[in-house]
Amino acid sequence: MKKAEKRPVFLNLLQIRLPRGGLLSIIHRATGVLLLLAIPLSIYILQLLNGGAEGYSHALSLLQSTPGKVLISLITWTLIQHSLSGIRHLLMDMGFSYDKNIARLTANTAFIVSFLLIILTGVWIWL
Amino acid sequence: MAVGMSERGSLHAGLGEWVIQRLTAVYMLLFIVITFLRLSILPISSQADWLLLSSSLFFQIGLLLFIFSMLAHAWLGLKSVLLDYIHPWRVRFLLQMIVALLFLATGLWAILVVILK
Repeated sequence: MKKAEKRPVFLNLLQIRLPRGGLLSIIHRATGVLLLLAIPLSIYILQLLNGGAEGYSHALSLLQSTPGKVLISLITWTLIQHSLSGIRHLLMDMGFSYDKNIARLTANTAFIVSFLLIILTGVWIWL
Repeated sequence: MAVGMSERGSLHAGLGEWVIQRLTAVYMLLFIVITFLRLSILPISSQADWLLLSSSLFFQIGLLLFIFSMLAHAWLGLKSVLLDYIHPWRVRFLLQMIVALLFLATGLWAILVVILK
C-alpha cells in the first residue's frame, strides 16, 4: 500500500465538478442513507394504527400535525428522488446510457421528473 | 460460452447481492404504486376502513414483503457505503454487526406489528 499513499488526493467538495450522472449518483447514495430513518418511523406509525381506537386517532393526529407533515414531506421527497435515480440505475443496467449523451439525458430526466413529483406531492400534502 | 452456475465459484458471490438489490427495488416500486392507486380509489376515511385493509392476509403479506425488501435493500446499500468510507476493517465489521442486529430486531418488530398486532 506504500505506492497508494503517495497518490495525490483531491477531495475539495466545493470544487469537485461531477458530471450530471455522477451528481445524481451521489444524491442517490445520500437519499438512501437518509431513508434509513423512515424505516423505524413508518413501523412505529403502523404500530399506532394497529393499536385500537386510541392508537389509531393518536397516529392520525401525529400525521396531521405540522411537525408530522414536515417529516412526511421530507421522507416523501427523499423517496421520490431516490426512486427516480434508482429507476435510472435500473435502465443503465439494461444497457441504456452507455452513450454519454443518453446518460446525460436520463440523468436530467430523473432530476426533472422528481422535481415535478416533489412539487405535486408538496401541493397534495400542504394544500 | 456462458459459465454454468456451479462453475462460477466465489468469483461471482457478489452477483446474488446485485440481483437482490434490484429485485427488492422493483418490488418496492410496484408495491408503492399499487398501494397508492388502491388508496386513491378507496381512501381510508375511518378506522373501520383501516381495519378492513390491515386485516386482509393479502395486504399483510404484501406489506411484510415490502418491509423485508426495504431491510434487505438498505442492508446491501449501507454495506457498500460503509465499504467505501470506513476503511479500518475492524471498525467496519463492528458497525455492520450493529446494523445487522438493529435490522433483525426491526424485522421482528414489523412481524409483531403487522401480523400479531
